[in-house]
Amino acid sequence: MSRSRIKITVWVRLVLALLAARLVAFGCRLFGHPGTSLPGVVALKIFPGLVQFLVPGYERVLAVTGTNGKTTTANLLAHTLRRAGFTVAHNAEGANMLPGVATALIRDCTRLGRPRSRVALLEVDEGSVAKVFAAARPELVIVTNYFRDQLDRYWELERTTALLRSAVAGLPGVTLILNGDDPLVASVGRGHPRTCYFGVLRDTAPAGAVPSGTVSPGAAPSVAALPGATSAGGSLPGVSAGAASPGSTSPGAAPPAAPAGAAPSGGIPDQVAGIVLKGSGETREGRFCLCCGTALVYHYYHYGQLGDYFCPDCGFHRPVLDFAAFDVNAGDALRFSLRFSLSGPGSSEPGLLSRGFNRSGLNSGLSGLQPPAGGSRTPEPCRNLFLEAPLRGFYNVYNVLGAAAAALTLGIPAGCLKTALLDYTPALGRMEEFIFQGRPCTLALIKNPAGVDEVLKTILEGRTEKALVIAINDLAADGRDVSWLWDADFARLAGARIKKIICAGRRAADLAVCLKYAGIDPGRLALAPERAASLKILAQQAAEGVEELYVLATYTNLFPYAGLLRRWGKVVERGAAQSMPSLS
Amino acid sequence: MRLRVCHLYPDLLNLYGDRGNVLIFCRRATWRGIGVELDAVSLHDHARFTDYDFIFLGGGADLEQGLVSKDLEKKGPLLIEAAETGVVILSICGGYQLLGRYYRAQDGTLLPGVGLFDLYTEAGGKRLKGNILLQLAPELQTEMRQFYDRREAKPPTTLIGFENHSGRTFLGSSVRPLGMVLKGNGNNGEDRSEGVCYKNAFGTYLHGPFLSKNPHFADLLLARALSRRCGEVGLPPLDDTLELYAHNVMKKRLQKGFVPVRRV
Repeated sequence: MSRSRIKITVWVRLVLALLAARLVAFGCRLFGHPGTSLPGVVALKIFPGLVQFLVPGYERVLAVTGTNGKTTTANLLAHTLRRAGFTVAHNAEGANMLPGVATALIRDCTRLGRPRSRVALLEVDEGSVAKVFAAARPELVIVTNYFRDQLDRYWELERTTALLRSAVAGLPGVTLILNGDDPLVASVGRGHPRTCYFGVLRDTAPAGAVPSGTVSPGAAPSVAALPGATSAGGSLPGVSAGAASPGSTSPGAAPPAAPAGAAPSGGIPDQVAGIVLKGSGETREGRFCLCCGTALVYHYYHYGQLGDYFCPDCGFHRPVLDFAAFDVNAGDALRFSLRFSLSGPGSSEPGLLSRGFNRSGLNSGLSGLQPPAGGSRTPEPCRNLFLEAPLRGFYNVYNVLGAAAAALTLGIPAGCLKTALLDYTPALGRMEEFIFQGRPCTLALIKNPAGVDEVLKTILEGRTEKALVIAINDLAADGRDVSWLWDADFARLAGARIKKIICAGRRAADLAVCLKYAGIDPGRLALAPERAASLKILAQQAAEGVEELYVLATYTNLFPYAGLLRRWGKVVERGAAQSMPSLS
Repeated sequence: MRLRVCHLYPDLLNLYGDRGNVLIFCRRATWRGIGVELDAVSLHDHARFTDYDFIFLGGGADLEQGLVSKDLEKKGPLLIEAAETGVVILSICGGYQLLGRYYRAQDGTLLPGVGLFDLYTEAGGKRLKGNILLQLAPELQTEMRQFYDRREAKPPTTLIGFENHSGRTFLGSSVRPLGMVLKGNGNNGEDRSEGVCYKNAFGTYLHGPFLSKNPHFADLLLARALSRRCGEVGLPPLDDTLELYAHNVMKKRLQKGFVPVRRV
């Protein structure tokens, strides 16, 4: 008797929860609220086990987590899966904690809790992996990277990686698709039987990648050849002249001379040229081996801490890449070659099978899927595949790689992946391209130093004159602490091609101070905390002939700016202009 | 004229944009025509700390702080010597804790500190975080007025920052706090004290680019470094409109709760 009663209570709760969620979602729509999280919150209150209950109805549950690139990677993969003929339930709006995941699943299921889609693809906040993984039990997890982000919430990265490690430990049988170039992410795969790694090979280092701090192949790299003051962006321009410290660890990798310019406010120009602030520069996380604490040595960097590294003490190193990108061209569109091995033990390169990776097992659930293009089910050696996606920015290589690795691992034919990537449309709202005052205007999300650095690099491509609105808020969803601004490399913007930087948002003043000390001429700065006012100044810039406009905004400013740009400008139809992808 | 600046453990203790403070110190010197020579000193480096005019020590995560703590066993006495001879030292968050007597973790393990400041830190349960507003110690207020006397504007008597720490720091009898908390938690969330001053050495939980919204305090550090080096204080004023605006926006927000940006 008790058994059936439990069952009945479960069903009553389920139906009630779904009904309540639908009502809330309806209410949200009525008030023009996106309602990506609230229905889930309510439903979970009524039926806490909702997600556990719904996920078994899916053939596959996939998850994407990490700091930057989650949304883009998940969207790319969702698009590819759909092109391959699958129906996908996906929290595409970026609500990526448990309520957001619940909302997406509720939306996908019938009134009685039966899923309509075959695959659930969940974007998961790096701080919520424990809860979401325990509830949704994904079979395949993609991890993009770990950068410092919202330290007021997550404290420190070691804690974030530990969270993921323990969340994964609770999922026997899970397949991990990890960014092998990120030591923090790669460390999670240690000892895990079903792991494959993606990464970018050296010859593809983008323009502006760090040349020093690298070692010639063959030569034993020494700690002395390490980061220190390396990249062009690493110096503090204007702070001046390099006396080698008595016992500094980095050899005089002198950065380019500081851009000259009038002193921002004192009226006294910098008199001495060029002290290098050693050890600063682009944000690098994970300088130390997570296994033994020794400083990692790099053969080369791509950006941040991503690159080819090893630990001189315990032997931890960048793992053999199962999905390796090379010949990367990150101009107007992203083009690169992908080498992947789905080979058996006979292959020259250790591949998935050699690590006990059971491909056929993974495929079997996806009934109706064709074996990878190339035809048969016989193991094939390394394959090269040329991929292209309408995305900008080198950092997007990793997003495309992660999605491609997952798709190929799941058995999506290579040809299908290729065409899916080609006609991918960046999701609306987070990465829209507009025409504003007759000029192209790109809206991009910024939320942490590594992301800012990569967006700025992308913006600075080309020779056109640009104007930017940078809008920094400090609401809970943005992170209350804006100290991270000082870890970003805004000194890049000191060049002449940036005509105006308009500081906006609740922390406009903090940003302006940061930019002033980064060496940007205060004459190029404008302070306009309000959105409308900031866009007015941007419009003025367009009228004065500035060719390219950008709006970089933290999370809570993103949708309002998108709304204003839609109202005052117009949305660019796909294919009419380049797309600027979001970072998350 | 040239000032020698030392960024201690820049590769290890730089959790929240801490390097901004070094940048601000250097910029405010060079904008006044004072040369700056900047060194990075990290693990296993040998440095004569008494040769420097300004030493900065930021905050770090647990792993990094453990590495630094070990290294400070050697450098500690040299740092104390520097502090005794009047070298200006600014330590923040983790760096601040390491310059105290010890840090006791939640599980009871003791991480020995340098002992430069007469204070100790105990791990606490709840993390103390948020924007924070201090009333500066009166003697520091008096000192700051000196470089503002030629200007109409009076220097702020407050400090603004962001704190994020679980450690509770308790000051000994031989040191004084940097200021008293008006909004926020401070050293331990109990006695309203925040930070520490000992001679020219300072410690505070106001992390990250702490000097950015407190240009008056940056100038106090600069003035003390200059007077130690050449016995005179001549600090021509800089245009701090932007910095003080940022200070006041946050101050108003903290005093009145939420203030819509358009009213500012």
